[in-house]
Amino acid sequence: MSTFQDVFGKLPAAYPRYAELEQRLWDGRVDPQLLEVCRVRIASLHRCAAELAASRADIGAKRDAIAQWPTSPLFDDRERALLRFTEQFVIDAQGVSDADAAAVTAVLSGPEVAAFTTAIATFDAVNRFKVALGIEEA
Amino acid sequence: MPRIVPPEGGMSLFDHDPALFATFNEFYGALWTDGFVDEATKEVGRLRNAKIVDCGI
Repeated sequence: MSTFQDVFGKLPAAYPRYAELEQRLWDGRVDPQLLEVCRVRIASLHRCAAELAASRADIGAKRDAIAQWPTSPLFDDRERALLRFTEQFVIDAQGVSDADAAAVTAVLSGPEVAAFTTAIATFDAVNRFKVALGIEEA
Repeated sequence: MPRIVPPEGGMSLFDHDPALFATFNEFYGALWTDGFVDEATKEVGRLRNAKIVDCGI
């Protein structure tokens, strides 16, 4: 069974640069737990087994409750703002409203918004890559 | 209309984190030059993606 590294590693110049980008995204620019709830939601939207099996930060019971983020008491308002933006971004980026964006900029600093947006775009791309190519292992 | 103000002296969202943007640009550049698919074919794919997402940039 091919792993992500097996496949993407066929690009010897691009793969290490992707790995560096990924490392920077998780280095604390944005709270890793915030990134993880969004990463898990992206994985659930894409039904990507490889990404759902992965764990980048401890989010406890939120992991199994991710589909209930709009109403579950496990999630706070900041997480809901980021998840709302993330979900709409994945489904249809053109559908992200001014209000969706404002809710994110209200809870994240400028540098955090830059990192967060880059992160969810990267997570979305990796999910699509793995699903389209049938990669079942991280 | 941009939904986030660039930092003072900057021009875009990514000027809030130049180091991250530099890393992203290195990755993005490598995607263009690495591998066996020629850049013209990649450009067709990029344009089609932009059309579908309706991204003016």
